[in-house]
Amino acid sequence: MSLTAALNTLTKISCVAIIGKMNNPMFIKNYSNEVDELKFHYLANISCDLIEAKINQTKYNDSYLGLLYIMEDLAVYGYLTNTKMKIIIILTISINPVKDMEMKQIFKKVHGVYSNLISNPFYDPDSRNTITSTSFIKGVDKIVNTSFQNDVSYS
Amino acid sequence: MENYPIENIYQQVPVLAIVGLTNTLLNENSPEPRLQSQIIEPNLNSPLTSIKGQLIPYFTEQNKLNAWDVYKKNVGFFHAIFFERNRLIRPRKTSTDPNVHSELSPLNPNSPLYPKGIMTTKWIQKYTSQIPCTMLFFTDMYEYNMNDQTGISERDYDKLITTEIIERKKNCQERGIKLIIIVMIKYRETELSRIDEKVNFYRKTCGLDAKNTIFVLPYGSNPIELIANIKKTIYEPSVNYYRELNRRIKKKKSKHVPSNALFSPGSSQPTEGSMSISGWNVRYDLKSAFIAEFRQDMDIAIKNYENAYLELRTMFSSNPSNSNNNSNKPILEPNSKEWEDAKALADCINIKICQLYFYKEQPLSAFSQFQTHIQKYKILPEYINNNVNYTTINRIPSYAKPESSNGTIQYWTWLTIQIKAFSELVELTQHKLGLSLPYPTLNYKNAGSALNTSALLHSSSTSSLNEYENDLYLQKNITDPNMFIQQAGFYYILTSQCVEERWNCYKILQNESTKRDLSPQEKKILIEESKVDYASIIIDILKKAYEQFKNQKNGRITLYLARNIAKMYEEKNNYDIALKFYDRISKTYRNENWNVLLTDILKSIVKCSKETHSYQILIESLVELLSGEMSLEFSERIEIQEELLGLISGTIPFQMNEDPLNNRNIHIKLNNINSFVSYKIKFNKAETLINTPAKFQLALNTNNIKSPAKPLKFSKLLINFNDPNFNICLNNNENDKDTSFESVNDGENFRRIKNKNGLITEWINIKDLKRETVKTNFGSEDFLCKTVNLSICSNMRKVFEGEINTDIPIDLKVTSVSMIIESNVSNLILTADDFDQEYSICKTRDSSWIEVIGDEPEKLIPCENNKNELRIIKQQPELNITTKHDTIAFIDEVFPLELEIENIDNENIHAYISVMCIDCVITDDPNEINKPLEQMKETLEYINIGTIQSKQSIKKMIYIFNNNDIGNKALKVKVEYFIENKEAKLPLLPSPKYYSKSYEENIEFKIAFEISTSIIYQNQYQPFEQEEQIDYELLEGESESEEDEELIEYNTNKIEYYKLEVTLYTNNVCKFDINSMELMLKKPSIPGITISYSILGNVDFRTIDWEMGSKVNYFFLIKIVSDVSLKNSIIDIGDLLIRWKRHPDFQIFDIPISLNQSFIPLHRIEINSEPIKITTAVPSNVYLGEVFTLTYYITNLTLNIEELSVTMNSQNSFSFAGYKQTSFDLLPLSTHILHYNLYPLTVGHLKLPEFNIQCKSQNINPKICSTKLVVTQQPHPQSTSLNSNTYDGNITPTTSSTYSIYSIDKNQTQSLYVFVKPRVL
Repeated sequence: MSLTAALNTLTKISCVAIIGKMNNPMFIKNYSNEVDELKFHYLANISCDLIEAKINQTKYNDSYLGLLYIMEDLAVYGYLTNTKMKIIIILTISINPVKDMEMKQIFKKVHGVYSNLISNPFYDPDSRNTITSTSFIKGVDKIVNTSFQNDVSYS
Repeated sequence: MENYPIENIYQQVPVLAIVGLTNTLLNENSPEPRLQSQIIEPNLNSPLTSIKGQLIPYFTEQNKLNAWDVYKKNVGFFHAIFFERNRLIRPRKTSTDPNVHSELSPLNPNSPLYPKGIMTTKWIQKYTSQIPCTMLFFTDMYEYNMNDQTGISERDYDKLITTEIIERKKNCQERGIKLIIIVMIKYRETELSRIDEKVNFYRKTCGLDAKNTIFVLPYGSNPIELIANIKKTIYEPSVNYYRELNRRIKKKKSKHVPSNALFSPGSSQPTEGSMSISGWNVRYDLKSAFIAEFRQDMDIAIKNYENAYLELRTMFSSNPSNSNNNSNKPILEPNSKEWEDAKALADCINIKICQLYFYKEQPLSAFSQFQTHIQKYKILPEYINNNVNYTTINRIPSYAKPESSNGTIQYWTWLTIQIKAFSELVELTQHKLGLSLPYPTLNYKNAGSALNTSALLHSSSTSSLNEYENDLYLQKNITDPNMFIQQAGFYYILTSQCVEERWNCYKILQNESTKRDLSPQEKKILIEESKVDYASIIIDILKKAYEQFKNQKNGRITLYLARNIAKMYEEKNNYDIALKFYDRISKTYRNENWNVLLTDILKSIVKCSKETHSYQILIESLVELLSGEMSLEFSERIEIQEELLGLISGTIPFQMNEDPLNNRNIHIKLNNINSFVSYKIKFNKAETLINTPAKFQLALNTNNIKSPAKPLKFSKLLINFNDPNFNICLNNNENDKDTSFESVNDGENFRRIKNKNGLITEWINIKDLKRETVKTNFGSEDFLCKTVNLSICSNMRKVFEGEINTDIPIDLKVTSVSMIIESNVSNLILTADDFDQEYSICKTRDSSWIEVIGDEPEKLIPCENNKNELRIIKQQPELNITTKHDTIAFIDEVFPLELEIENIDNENIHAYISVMCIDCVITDDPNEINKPLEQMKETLEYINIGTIQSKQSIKKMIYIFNNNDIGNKALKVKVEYFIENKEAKLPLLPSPKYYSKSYEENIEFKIAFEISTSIIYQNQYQPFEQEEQIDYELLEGESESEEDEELIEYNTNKIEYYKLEVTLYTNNVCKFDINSMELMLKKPSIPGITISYSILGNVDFRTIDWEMGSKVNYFFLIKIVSDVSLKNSIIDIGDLLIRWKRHPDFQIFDIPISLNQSFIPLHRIEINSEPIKITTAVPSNVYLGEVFTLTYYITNLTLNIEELSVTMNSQNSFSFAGYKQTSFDLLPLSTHILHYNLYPLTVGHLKLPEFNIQCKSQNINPKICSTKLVVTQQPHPQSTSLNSNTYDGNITPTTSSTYSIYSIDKNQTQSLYVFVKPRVL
């Protein structure tokens, strides 16, 4: 297997985004070296539509909404918390598809980090400001860096 | 899909030929075979023409539909072709020579396929337009027409028909095509048997099958319904034609292609220059596939298409070294005509396979085929571009990524067509088959939901997607992005990106053409591509995507697409349209705080507005880009700021589109955009008094450390209040050249502090303002002015502290704050006017108040509640309200009360008073107090009490009258006043401009004296008015009368006497003088009744000293004369009137009132309640052993004769003589008298013998009342002179023969008693 082909099999999180209940961006971080950040902002913005369409379409009883859409070679996954916060994870599509359970676990971790953030009494979850908490950003970074480690060892 | 021949990609349906509906004939030059037999001229006057008129549009409309429109309802769905009246179906190959080939065969030199062409659309056209599976022949039945004698006979007519049928049948049979004859008739009841006969005749003569070959279409029935039914009936037999056709194709294939070509290569090697075996394979697989499609056998069709596709693919990959190919040439030579044709064919087959998979509801199989196609063909040599200068600009999904660094222009052109076709298929699937996308969705079965996945996937619950696809997904529990079908819109986006890539390649090629010599092929491409309007193509595709998402109500994706469309318009230099798009997009992004996206859009707006010379839009966008919220680099920020200031000052020239005169002032409302500076206004208190200063602070906050990138200087700062007299204009101190923003402490004028985080806080005193006229661009206005430093920098809080001190009461509010940058060219006016809205992000900074006192260090005082509102009110002059009155007020009394209003203030005031007392009437006029109650008012309003001098008071008497109920009543006094000489013109009352003071007190009301009255009926044995007779003659001793009955004639006027007992309790609080007590009798409402009264005893109330807490009785005798015919009337007697007043010792104020009047309502009296009245006369003194006479007077008060029976029961205490039992008739209004002599046997209080009386007719049992009336017996007013039986409180009876009168009382049933005394000798 060539190096490029091997790299292609790696699943990478390219972006993590948190969108507020008023569909306002609260956190969008680009973890990809190749994609322009602006693109992720557009993708995150578009996800709001697809999440809304998805929750209107059928009665969902799970926060994990699965693969929302694909734009170019980026797969956008969505998660909706009970407080209507939207978590978006964008993966660069690889040959090995990701299991839904695996994605769900990652979302749960991000949700956990977000829960820690809003447990801070000085944090106002209703403000439309972007999240600047370093512990939150570090928490998300850690999730991104440790996800799909099995894939790496496998490849 | 429009890039391919429609025949190749149209999904086929069975074809039906229609003959006989139209009368057109074949063209002279047409090669089509013609009918030999004579054609019957149609009768145009026949009503059957109208049937044809209905059927032609029906078939035409049906032809507009395709297989997808009748999805799952395709049985009976044909495509109709109209044959000319004299046209026959082309027969099969006429020659039997095996070397003569059909004109569409590659072996035929005249064929367009010759020598190596695989497939031509003409072959499909043959089956869609020339050779049907069934022919419908419409013919009219012979019609008798009496008027038309020129017509042919029925016999000839039928002959013609049968001849034509026979010829057509023969023609169809040659190809195995089914012929259906539809006979149209003008139906008549009488012709029923004839029709049957005729149809049988046709059948027999023409040798037609018994079943489903001949139908009758009667006039008057619904022809469309009938035809639809016929189509359903003949559908299955019809499509059999295609099955048969397929067999023939297979047979032919075996001729050209050896059954095992791989292992017996030598058997039929194609000759040089002819088509390869693979080619023949593809050709016949395709034919089979098309024919399978015609008969709607999709599985076979897909299988054949796939076979053809695979075979075709091998033709591309084969090369000279391929062992299967002994010749030195490849099967397909690159860039040859065959190569290009085969590519197009492969694309078409791919579309076909995808289409059929979608049709079979296997979207993933379709997608898989599509991806395979792209992947297999992208490696064709013409698509590979190894030039390293070419790189892709978009991120293309891996299946579509070019093999090398980038694809060629041809690759992107080809890919665009492929993806667009796929998008269209997805769109069709979504809309026509109702597939809900994306597919597959998350497996909720595994996620804990019991929902049926297939139901989730598809909008229609009855249809389920291919089970295989579903199961695959369920097992894996993976949503594979590589196998994920989305809405068509996403594929259109991908299409647009392919066009962009193609455009990009063209640009690179164009660029290269300047550097190197292009190859001839490259030159050709360059020329061809230069004609392409890429932007328009992209816009068209994006608009398609836009429509898709718009239908799905995905607003944000449409924004993204709108942005891409706008970018294309920009590329086309169509900046106006681009600007409109951007303007719309920016609003949503701004509202939802998508600042990164907004920055992107704003940058584009800046670019477009420059191009369109839209000055206002440009400045507005630049101002918004100044905001720290925008995602910009520091250098970009500097550029933007410099550009903005340059444009304002005119150093950067700008050609304005608009009239420059109107655009000198650029007004920008900061509330509508992301502002680089936020405003906060607050007053230190919500309310203040006039002439008492109140402070306010205006804080300007630059939102963060990024903006403004460089310090910014404003020329003016205007603070506008709701009252323009307070408006402030701050001018920039141009002499202040300090740009270092270092800490400064200038006592009470200016402070600047820089904290460790770099936050600069400036505090500027603007209390000392001067009124000046300022020339603004709106004209000259008066402002309170001061010159201060108006520079701001990033991370700064600039606070201006001012003071409001006014002598006018007002509600003050800052309406807007404007910051102005002035120049000779134009003025930029930034206005914020919605201060209630919290649009600042620095809440904590804004909410504190900077307190600077003297030279002390400033303090930050948190003040969350301070608002942008100040109420300035006047100080109220002090006033005292007191009252003076008797402790207790009485009901029915005019109660005087003195109000004293004292002015404690140093100013003279002018006052108005308003007084009211709950439930009472009130007046301030002593003349009114003796007048009737109605003239008094419930409230006294705004009584001018004139000027009250400083430290003086004014007294005012008011009179309260309460005739209702006792208890505490609230007295409310409100004084409204103003300071004299200060407020010259005040509006009329009521007005909030006056000061007001209220006073409230409870006044206790009691009753002056308690009165109880009772009315007692006064008995009389003789109730009727008699002229001569003296009622009391009985007293004279008529007791010994032996008469059993006495009948006396009476008139019908009845007199009743009632005694009114009045008990008066005086209270123990206040002493009264009662002037008089009288009855105010009412005139009875019933005619025939008169009432009169007299007081018993002569009383002069004025002479009585009414001690407090005493109880006194008085009596009135009331006489009521009524007619007995009036039954049971209740009459209202009237009131007892007492005139009284307070004793002078018990009142504070001596008021000029005559007397108070109290009215006590009296009981009502019921008259004539008894039909039979019984009274008894008993001597007053009864002695033991002495006979006395007991007399019963029984009076009939009715106007009927009453039959009465009487019994007297013996008793131990008395022995009696008289009727023990008797009965008699009593005439109306007459009295019957019964005498009994009784001899008392013992002494004491003894019960008289029981006397019972029974009235038969009225069924009543009157009883004698037990009430002993001796004490209360009153004399008849007329007989007062007799004074024989008059009892008064002080008068004792003088005669011994006094009688007690008993009367019946319906409520009392006790027996009568008499006191028998012993005779004391």
